[in-house]
Amino acid sequence: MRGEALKGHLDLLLLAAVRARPAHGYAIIENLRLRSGGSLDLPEGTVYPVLHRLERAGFLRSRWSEASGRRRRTYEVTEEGLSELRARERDWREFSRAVEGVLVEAT
Amino acid sequence: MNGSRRIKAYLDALGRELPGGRRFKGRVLAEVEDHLREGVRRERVDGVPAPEAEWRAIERFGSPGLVARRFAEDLTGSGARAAAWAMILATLGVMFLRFLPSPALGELLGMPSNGFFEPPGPWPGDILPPHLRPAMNVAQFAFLASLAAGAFALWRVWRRGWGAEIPDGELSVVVSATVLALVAFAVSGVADTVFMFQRAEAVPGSPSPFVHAGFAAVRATITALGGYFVVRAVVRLLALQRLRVNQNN
Repeated sequence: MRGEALKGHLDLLLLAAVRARPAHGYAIIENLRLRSGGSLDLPEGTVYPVLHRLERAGFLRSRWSEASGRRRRTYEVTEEGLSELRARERDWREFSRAVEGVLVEAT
Repeated sequence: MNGSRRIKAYLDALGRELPGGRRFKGRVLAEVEDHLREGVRRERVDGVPAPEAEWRAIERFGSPGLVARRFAEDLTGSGARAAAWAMILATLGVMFLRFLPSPALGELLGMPSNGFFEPPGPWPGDILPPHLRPAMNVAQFAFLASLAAGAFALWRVWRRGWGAEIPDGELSVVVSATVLALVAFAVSGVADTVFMFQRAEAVPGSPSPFVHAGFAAVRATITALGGYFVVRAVVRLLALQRLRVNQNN
């Protein structure tokens, strides 16, 4: 999937990627890639500004930890982030159902 | 170029292009370094030679210019959002101080019946002397313009949801609206101060010039605070545009 098409859905995807457990940036991106069967592939560096924005909005929180002798920033979803995720999931499912309905009708 | 040098060169290039202060850059560069080294480590586990592993990790991450631009877009968005909030809070704050002390609230707070900055009403004849009218009109018009521009800016960011990304095309609209709000707010402040001093001379029983000078100082401080956020948003927007121009050349 192209980067531009993905851009509008990154908030939802990133919140979903850390829903189960806290993760650092690399693991979040890898999680997206694996769970999408490789379809969600975008320049990895473009994910970090979105993580920072979601943190500023209060949907994620992060902290430094130490791993393999390196400082690592780990992100986890907040209560507010979970509510946001649920709302966005609902919107996405409605949208997806609507598009699917149109496409089925057209074939 | 060996591997760690390649990553260091990438981080140096990114550090040069990244917007924001030293603390912000430090955090971003530390995160990016960890990401790249983790990428290299995993490639190496799969048996990829070191130079190739580093090249792949950097390639997947995206060019320093692209990453810096995304951060700049994000910072500009948060700056624009903060500026819109600052201008709305500034106008509402002044409105509260200046006009809101209604008789009921004033009584509750122990204020004079028309608030601290109005002469006790009704004025003699309750007619505004004609020479006070221009300053008052300018103050009121500019204040309404400031409120409208600030509300417009806030609406443009608010309608996308709290914390949502502000698209490129919206950024300059929002920042321009906050600049307009700031200019109108400053004009309104000057005109209102002139009006209040003129009225202190013309209307018996008006609050003393010292009260007006105090209010003018409070208002100037509020303007400066709002101005800080608006100027910061403008600087970020200009930095983003410069980044885009550099990348297009």
